[in-house]
Amino acid sequence: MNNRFNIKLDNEIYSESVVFKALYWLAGNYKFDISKDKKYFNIEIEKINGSFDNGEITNLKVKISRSLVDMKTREIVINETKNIRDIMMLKAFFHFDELDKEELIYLLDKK
Amino acid sequence: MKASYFLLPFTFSSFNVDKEILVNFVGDFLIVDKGTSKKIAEKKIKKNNKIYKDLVSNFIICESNPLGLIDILSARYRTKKHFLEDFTSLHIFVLTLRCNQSCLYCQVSSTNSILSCYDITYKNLKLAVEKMFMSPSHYLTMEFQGGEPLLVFERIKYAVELAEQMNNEHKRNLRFVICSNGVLLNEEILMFMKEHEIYLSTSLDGPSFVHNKGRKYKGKDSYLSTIKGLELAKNILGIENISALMTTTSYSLKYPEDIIVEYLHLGFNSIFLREINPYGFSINSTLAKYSSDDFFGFYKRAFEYILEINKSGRIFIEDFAAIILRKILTPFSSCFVDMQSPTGIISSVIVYNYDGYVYASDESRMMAEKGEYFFRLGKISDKYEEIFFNKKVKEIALHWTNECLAGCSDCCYQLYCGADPVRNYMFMKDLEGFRPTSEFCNKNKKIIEYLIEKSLNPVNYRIFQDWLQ
Repeated sequence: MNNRFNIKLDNEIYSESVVFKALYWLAGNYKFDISKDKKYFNIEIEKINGSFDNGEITNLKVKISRSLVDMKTREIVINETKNIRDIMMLKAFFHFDELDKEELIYLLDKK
Repeated sequence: MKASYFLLPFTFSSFNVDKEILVNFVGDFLIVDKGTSKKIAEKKIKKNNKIYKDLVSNFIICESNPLGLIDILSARYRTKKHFLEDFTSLHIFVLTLRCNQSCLYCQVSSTNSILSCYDITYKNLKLAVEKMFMSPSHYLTMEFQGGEPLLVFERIKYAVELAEQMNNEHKRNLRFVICSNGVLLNEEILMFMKEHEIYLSTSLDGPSFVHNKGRKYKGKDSYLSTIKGLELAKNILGIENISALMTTTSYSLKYPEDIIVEYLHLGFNSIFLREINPYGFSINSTLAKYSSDDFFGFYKRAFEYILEINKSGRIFIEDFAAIILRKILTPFSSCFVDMQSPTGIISSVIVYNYDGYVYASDESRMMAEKGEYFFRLGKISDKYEEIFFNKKVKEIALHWTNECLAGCSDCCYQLYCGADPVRNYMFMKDLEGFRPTSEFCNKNKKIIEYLIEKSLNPVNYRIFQDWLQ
């Protein structure tokens, strides 16, 4: 029964977080077996119910590629804005007006 | 060469065929061409690009160090999460599980029994009122529910008078609501309600043939009995002190326009198009068997009709849309338990049940009737801290913020939506839930996207602004 196929993703291009997030939204219908070697994520994709219809694998690959691009974009935004986001949350919920500008700059540049 | 702007926190999603929606940290949105988010992240939007200024003015990017924007954005974020400041304000008192009707889809599993073990004891009722006043909230709403709470009207009188007496000392903004099917309403009850400014929330599923389909009343006409009570209530309390809630069944899916016309004829200025809750008897009722996609189809048809009514000059509000639109189109949020993050259970609502226990929400006590007690937080007689800050509450709190939930954390509709650990637990036996198959997620996402699309039309936008006044 044709209910599984494999894909390889370059782990220098996609982080683990991006790969897992991209596959998450498909996990209602498909099961993923993911392993990682030095260069690639090796992913076996199995359809949970039944076998693949005509064109389903191609459509699924397109969906995964789009989702990877979106998640990678989100990762860029999250990485660049993490500190400013944390500071804004802190400032929204805590009264720390006494925090001076140098301290804010330090928090903002913190990696 | 990369552009020199800074990114601000934002999320995005595809919107229709060729567009994308960008949502900033405080919930402002912008519709742009597909692929724009990637260009923004890769710093490929040049200053002379026509959307550059929109991105700056909508806090998606900024031209200099974002430090200067911290004050304004954090203040706006605080406003969006304003509902957290008050803590528990809605206190539901389930006075009895007994009911005089036998609705086929009853979500609370009410009983026709005459046994008093289904009524709250006066001792627990007194303790519950005292517990309510331990909440730090300046606003306290006592909501009496059942079963049919008017079957134990003496207990309502007792609780209202006790609360008013205690409030002489506590000085809170105190309001009362009775949730009733309306068939027992009479002059004596309504005069008491008028005297104590008690709001009436009743149930009306639509015209007679829709309402009577699911609501059964001992061989009598349930619709006519409710309307009779409702008319009397309108005369004594005034329509402005009455609301009606409809429950959508698989049968009513075909009749959105008839349901709205019924509400219009009765003089209501709003309707809450409410999906059935999958609890209690509804689990096995064919009237509750429909998908979130079926509901969305019904919702859209009803909403289009409502828009037409508004365009003809009569303001008629769809309440669920108003809750979401307030979050989308204004700097504010809505205090609606099911659409809050952190969720409103415990922190906004609490239930004192007839069985002497405290539950995290209305749905939590509904689950208890089916033998699932996970959201039972303690006895009414326990200490306040033991109920509100116990180990179980801390466990629930780990999963009640959609900013931290898988699938929700990247969703651009996060600020417009909410977290629902009770429903997650009900369906999946875990608090986290699973968004790819979640009906809650599917329904909310579709409705939010639909409302955003509607708001892009200037005529609709003006109607929505009227609703949000």
